[in-house]
Amino acid sequence: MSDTPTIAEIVDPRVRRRAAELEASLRTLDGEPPNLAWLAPRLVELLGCQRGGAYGYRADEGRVRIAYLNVVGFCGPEYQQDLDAAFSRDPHGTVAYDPLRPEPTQRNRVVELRTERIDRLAENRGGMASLRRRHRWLAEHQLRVLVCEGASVLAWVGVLRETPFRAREKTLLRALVPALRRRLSLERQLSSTPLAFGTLAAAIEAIGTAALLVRAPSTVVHANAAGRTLLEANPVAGLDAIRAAGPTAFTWTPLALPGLPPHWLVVRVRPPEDPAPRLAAVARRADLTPRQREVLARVVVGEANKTIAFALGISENAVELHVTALLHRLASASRSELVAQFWSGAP
Amino acid sequence: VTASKPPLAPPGRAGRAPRSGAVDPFEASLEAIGSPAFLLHGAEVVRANQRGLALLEREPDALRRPDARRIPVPGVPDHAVVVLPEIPGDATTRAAAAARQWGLTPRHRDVLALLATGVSNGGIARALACSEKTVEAHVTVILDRSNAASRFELIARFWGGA
Repeated sequence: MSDTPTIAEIVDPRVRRRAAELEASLRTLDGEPPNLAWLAPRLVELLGCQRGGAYGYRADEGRVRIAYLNVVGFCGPEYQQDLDAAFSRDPHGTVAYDPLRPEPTQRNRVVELRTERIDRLAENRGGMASLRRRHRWLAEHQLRVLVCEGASVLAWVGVLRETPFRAREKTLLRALVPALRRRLSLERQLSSTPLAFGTLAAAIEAIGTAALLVRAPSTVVHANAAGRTLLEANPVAGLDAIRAAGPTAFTWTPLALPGLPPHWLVVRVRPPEDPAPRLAAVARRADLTPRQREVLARVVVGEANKTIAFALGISENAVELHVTALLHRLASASRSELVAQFWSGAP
Repeated sequence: VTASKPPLAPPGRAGRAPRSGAVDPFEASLEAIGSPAFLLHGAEVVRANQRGLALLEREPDALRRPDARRIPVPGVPDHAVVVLPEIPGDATTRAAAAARQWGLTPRHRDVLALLATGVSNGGIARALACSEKTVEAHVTVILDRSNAASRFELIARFWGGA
């Protein structure tokens, strides 16, 4: 599209700076709280409006439903319910486009609409008009874009106010469309649920050990509770210390995030289980001698007889005798079985 | 119009997927959980990690277990990441996860699941109806990929003990 304005072309320096900041936020995953919750208030403020934001659609057994709603200036839960009801009843009576597959000319285009015109386009079959009455939203101007990836709608993004929009606001929203599109399609890719950086955050929280989402060169984008504790313990060196600890301490998995700088999932390697409690339990149950217990401690981590003999300062023959005694006492058919039985049961 | 359902298993990443390649962030996080983990929408499984898939195959009702840990997805209603505790002594799901981590084939995985419980090569050959020579070859590959110095170290590491 040759007529797409860029943010650099926005004349007012204050607006230009705020638009550039918003665009930069869309390029990073740092926008906590998750799910682009920050988007609606900033968009509304930038475009000088009272209400607006973003929402997405999903198909549910052939009916159109609201997949997520991220708006300001509306009574959130109630508005979502009403919107959902209107769409699932009759999407084409509600809005003048197919919410799941709009016409090519309707995709990624900023349009200004007046409520009367929306009613006329939607043939005023009830949907939106009754919704507006319910939410005391009577005569308004709407500036919106259906952000699309291919033929499918990633989000309705728009703002509403009582006074008409000027060319300036239209230019501003048009300039933001590429960044919105990139980010919303990334959100869709991050999970099956659109607007779900939160889904990723929940999965990272579920990792039982310290985990961080890191952006090149060295920014921690997100950390789970254990990860935050780890970083707070070493606020100065932080990520450098983690990097210096090497691959045996932390795994660095490169993440596929097209259009963004390199990101990694950094996870602290779980230390091997401490064998002491299991050793104590086995020694008690099988009534092992202190020497047998020493030998067992080495056998169960995979040490060979020769190594054990050297470490304990006894002959290899003596180790063999201890191992035979252990197999007998623990009723194991083989050394493999002994090691497996030692570790595999509940601790 | 029908909802397009994402596949349960991540496409094209089974078997010998390159270990250096970039991974889908959500998949990487689910796998890093270690024990069986799922993304649920209501009661429906949207995604699962390898151990989760292996567990569901064995135990279709596993998600109804009372010890499931639920982490709700902030801001997205009805979605939660659910983590189930490891089943002690469960070699099958561990073998599936290890196979993924070490880039093993399904056959290696089956050998590993038996080996890890202490079955001898002869016993594995009988269980999988193949020759002992074949089992030996599989074990060599598994030892090589897992970087274990011996069969015993491999068993200990398999269970998280080394």
